Amino acid sequence: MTDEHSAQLWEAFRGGEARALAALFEAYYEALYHYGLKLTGDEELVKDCIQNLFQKLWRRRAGLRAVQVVKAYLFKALRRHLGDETKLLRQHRYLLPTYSDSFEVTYSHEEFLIAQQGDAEQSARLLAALNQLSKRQREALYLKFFDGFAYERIAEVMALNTQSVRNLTFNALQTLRKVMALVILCLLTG
Amino acid sequence: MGRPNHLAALLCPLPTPYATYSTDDFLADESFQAFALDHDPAASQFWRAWVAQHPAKQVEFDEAVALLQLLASSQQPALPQALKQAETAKLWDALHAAPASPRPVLRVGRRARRWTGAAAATLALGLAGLGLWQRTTVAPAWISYATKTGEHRELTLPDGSRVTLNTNSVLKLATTWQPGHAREVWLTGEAFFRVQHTAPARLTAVATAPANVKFTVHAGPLDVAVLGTQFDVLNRAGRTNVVLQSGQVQLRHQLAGRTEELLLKPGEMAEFLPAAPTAPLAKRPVNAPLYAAWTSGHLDFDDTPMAEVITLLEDAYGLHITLRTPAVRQQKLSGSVPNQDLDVLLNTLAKSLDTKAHRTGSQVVFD
Repeated sequence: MTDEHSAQLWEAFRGGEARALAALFEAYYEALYHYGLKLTGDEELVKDCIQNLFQKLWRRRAGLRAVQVVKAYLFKALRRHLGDETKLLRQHRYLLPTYSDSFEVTYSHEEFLIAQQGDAEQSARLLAALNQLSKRQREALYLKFFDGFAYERIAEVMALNTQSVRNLTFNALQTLRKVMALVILCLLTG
Repeated sequence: MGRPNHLAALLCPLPTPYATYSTDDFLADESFQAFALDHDPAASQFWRAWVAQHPAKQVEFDEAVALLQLLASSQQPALPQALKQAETAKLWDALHAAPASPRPVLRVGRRARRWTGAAAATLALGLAGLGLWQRTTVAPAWISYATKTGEHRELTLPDGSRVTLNTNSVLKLATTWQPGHAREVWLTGEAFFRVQHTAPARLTAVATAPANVKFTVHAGPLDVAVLGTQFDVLNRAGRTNVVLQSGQVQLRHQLAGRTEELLLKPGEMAEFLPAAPTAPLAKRPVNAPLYAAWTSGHLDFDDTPMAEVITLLEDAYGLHITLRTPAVRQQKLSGSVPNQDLDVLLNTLAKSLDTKAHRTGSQVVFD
């Protein structure tokens, strides 16, 4: 779905068209689900949060502003909802409430089957390299390479400024490059 | 000159930061990423040309491409359709529930009562079998765009095609378009279309193209099918017209017992008159740009014979025009006339012809 089309659906939804909201839900559900799962690893929590988010958007539609990039808006809103929920969960279990920005973005083995060669060694190295990054770096890379967001949108989603996102991404890619240096050499000469 | 700025920079060697880029700089550059991941043809063109001009950077360049492609080669496990459908149905119900009951899904204690995926799916299937699961799929989501009197609206359709909707018009389409499926819209009123050509480039004949690459406008009794082109469709009470600006259009007209087909070429107009519904579709040459002029808010004349203008007014506005001075018909007009208000348009035309216009309903007389 193009940004323009989703922006039009957003306008229609704000004007009271339930079907427009349902269409946005269908278009972005998979991406939101995977992102939520990345952040929390808790499927029930993610499903509930996405439901609550959209139902709340519907109830509060009169007070919403126009949105240019709906996907980024939804990601940011989901992230905030998940943060609130995990804080509540932790409080309820009498644990020390931790800083809600401590989402643990994890990459799994299944996601990195290298299409060309199915080289388990390469994917294992990439995974290991990714796990050397900080949580924020991993999240920024996820938003860039799995969801195709531009740096400004990633900043919007993660509630950071754009320069911080650029730095995060630069450093993350640099670390990956250094760790993967041997692997890449094989790709170029193999 | 039509060359992208990047190429211009290559030809007039101004210092760009790229020549001093390290691999890490390439990796983090969004335009470079778009090239490496094949997301932007303009970026691909630029960077391929750039590296050919800077062979010293080949190593860093290739290293960056390799890593980016490795990162992007990951796959997400596909989401089970049943899950998405169930969640969509849940939302749909909530959107239509009585406003007094906004019950958020269970928060606390949720972890204790987990349905495993299998149990929930079995339950859903069981209910479906009982016919209780009426709204598993949301009814085909349609979206309508409507304009009021005096309003124009620019729309972009899911395939990137652009539509300008004229006053008092309605355009209806399904909210999601699947790539590789036929594109369809329904029009009442008037709209100018700039349709994206999504078929393979070698397909240029709309008549023989397969259904799934065509774009079709349903305009009352006519179906207008194109591959990728610019055309105006008018479907108002009293008449349905199609005027082709560029490309090809295939018209289909359902008559009792058979379908009539007509191909239009640029500069032709096809007309359907409800007064003679079984008559074959007629086509005639017209000054096509005049018929799209409403999109700009003014009519531009360039030595245009008044006869053509009269035809346009009769076609577009359903007027019947009489000239008391027949010589006026031969007059040529040049210049620009605002066309958002019919009477203003008529009076401005009359003034440039050094005469007066009188309108009663759809009857217009020029002195």
